[in-house]
Amino acid sequence: MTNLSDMPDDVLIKLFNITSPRDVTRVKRLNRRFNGVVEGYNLGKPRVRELRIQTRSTEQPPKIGRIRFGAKTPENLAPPKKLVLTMKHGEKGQKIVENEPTCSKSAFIEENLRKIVINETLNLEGLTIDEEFHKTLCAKWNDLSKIENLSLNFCKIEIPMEKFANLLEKMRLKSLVFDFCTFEPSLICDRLFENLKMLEILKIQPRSHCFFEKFTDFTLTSWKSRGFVPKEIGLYNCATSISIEGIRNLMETIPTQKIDWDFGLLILEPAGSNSELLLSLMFSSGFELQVNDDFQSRRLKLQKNRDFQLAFNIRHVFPMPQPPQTL
Amino acid sequence: MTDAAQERSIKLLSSDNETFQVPRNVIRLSNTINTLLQDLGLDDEEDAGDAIPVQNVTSTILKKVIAWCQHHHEDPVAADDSDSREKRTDDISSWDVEFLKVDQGTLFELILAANYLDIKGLLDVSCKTVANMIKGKSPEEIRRTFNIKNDFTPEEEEQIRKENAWCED
Repeated sequence: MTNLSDMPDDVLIKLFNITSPRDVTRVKRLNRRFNGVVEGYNLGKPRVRELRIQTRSTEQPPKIGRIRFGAKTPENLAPPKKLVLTMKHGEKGQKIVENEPTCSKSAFIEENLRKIVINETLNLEGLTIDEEFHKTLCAKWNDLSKIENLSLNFCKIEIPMEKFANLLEKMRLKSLVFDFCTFEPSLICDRLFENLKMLEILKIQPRSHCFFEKFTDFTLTSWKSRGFVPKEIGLYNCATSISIEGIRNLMETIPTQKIDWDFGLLILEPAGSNSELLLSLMFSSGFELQVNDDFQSRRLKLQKNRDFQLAFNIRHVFPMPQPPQTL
Repeated sequence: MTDAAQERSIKLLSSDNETFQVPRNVIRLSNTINTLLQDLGLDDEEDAGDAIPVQNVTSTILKKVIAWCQHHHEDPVAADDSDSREKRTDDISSWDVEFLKVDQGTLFELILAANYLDIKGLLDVSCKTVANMIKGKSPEEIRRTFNIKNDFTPEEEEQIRKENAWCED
């Protein structure tokens, strides 16, 4: 009698392509032939909830903690370094693979990416996002379209903005986080966010002070017109071309959800200008206002109940008739 | 294809030498036959000509395949579902479910025939049926269901189980 074992490879490939990944992992245990077909054609790729790609020093175990001061920066950590890939499946299931420092990094990443589908989150730590890495990530067998969260920690982004924007557009990003990354300030611009229609969380903290000249009210306006605004915006250690007017416009569409916005330094607001706008913003009804000064800027924080929080810095001391106070 | 060609019938010859008359627009569901007819310019011929031999497909199976095509030949052409879409196996029409209520031998013969004749819809639906038979079963249960011989040593099988345990929770 004709049976499953009599099916040619191309039928089995088709069959295991529609079989759930969980069932395919059991099929691998049936016998050598089935295992060979599944392995050989990368079928039934497990859906990985989170993939973390890290560069680690081989000499000492990684330090817990996000900031490493002094000599131990990713750039001058003494080689050799190794790559560690952590794939999280469910609550408990996870797989960790490491490469030998002598192996090609991109080949190692490529080999492992072929075997999985990233379902939600991609975390990159201590990597250089260069042409080679971009190519590996964009290879045709990688389905990036299910990635909702992208977080880059201690990364160096070397690919041009347009390429980086195209990479982000392949995903379905709800959350985009740059933590202590190094990149050209021109990377962060309106164009980068243009096609990220689902973005809810944006956090940018460059390693050194940055001015994102091309990150303007245009992006804020497009967020407003798409019907929902990001619930979390955190721009730290950086300045943008966003204006108070732009923020006020965005505030008009405050939804019911919780809002936490920090716009960093608004560099285009010179002393005295826009003071009426600022005043009207500050005295909008129902807001609690906090003003803090440091050496370079004045930080304003507006709060409404616990659901709305807005902060930004302006460079110069704002000419107020009275000393700053909590209203 | 002209109207006349649409109404024409094509003769198919099963591996056990039984001839079947099939309307041209029914057998178009088979990419293999369709391409053959087009490539050989047989669509323009008045006469049905010689029967096309369908190797490896017995009359019992060919009869069923033709019955499936007969029922589905007016279905709208499905959009090209590329791999990006989530694959479902629970969307088999009730007619197909009834049609595929056959013994395993026949089911796999049908798959082989659908694969050889390149009838995408039939191959899809029969593979889905098999996928549903695999669903949720342990390796031992799958082996029993399909009479599969285990040629792993217990150590090898355990090794594969261990390697894949992380994505089974």
